[in-house]
Amino acid sequence: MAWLKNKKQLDNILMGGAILLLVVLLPVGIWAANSVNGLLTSGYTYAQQENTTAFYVGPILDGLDAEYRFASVNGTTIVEETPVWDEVSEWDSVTITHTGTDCSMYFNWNVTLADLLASRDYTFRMKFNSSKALDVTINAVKFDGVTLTSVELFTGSVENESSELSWTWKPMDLLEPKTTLNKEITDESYLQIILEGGDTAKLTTGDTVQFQFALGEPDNLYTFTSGGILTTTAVFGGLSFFVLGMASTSAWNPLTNGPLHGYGQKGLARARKSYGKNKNTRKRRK
Amino acid sequence: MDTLTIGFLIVTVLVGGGAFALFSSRTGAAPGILKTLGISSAAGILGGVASIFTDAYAFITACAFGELAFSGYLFVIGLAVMVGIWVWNGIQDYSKDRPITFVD
Repeated sequence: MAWLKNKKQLDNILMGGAILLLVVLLPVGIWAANSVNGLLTSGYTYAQQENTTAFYVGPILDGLDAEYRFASVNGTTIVEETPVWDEVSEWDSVTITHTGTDCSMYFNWNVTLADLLASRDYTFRMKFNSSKALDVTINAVKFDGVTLTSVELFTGSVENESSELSWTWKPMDLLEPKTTLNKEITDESYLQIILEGGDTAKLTTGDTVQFQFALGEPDNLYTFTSGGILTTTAVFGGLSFFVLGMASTSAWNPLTNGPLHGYGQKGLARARKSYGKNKNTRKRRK
Repeated sequence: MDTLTIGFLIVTVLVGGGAFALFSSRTGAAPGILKTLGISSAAGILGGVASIFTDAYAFITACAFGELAFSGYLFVIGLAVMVGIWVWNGIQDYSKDRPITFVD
């Protein structure tokens, strides 16, 4: 490298590269890894979530520990609802029996953030056929036996006719709320799908909502689990940082005295000499 | 003053101070620390903003909290080793009264 004049110049290049790695490559690398599932996706193969076992029996609201799979809620008044499963048409339906004038429908979905991270599913498709427009919210929920904590994952809305809505996630969309919830082993955990009347038309007694919920896995060969993408990124990132850290030391700096250029021993000798000098200086000071 | 204005002023002072330090101190032992502070401030602010927009901060936090188990700890330890060596190099340079560099 004739254009390089001295060690200082080499060190400055390495230092610039290292800072660039932290400032640009670290965020960009994580962004790229996080985008892998979106980049690889073409179409999806869907698995229908259409019987009671797909739904969890757990608390609906914080402070009220009565447990339901499905319930309509008006304020803090909760009424259990019973959906009708239609395996043929795949349109399951629930009719609200709650007498409140502004009801919300709660579905405790038997899936956790950890399940989604460990799966190859990248999307959750919701189809609705309702007499009223709907606002849809999906929350991640943790119940520690006393307090119910929830983190919002998705919001959307559909018209008052047959409509489709999809929540498609990136790995960090799952990992970040999982970190926030900080679930202990003994805590219950599940997702909650909440339907509310959109606009001014609120859900009330007699309103019927037909629904289809399905998890979607990309139908290509290159499908990774969301958790796998993140752990792979972490392993490669951690090893790269470690190597760059070593490269920043006088003994292993690859651009100057590092072993890659056959100068490892020279670097170590110099380090030892420097250490010896310092030791002598300290002795003299004493 | 509201929090946003105070935050904006702090960022302005940091960037301004960093830029001044970067361009006003090219050589010598004493300005060396200013140069390092300049580079660190500018890089830290740029990296911080980039991290917020790209989930990097959330990723590092999740790794530190053990959400990715061994892989996450490896990531955080690797990062800590690199930054630790840089800080160590900086301290060595400062104690030997020479311009501070991250790479020794």
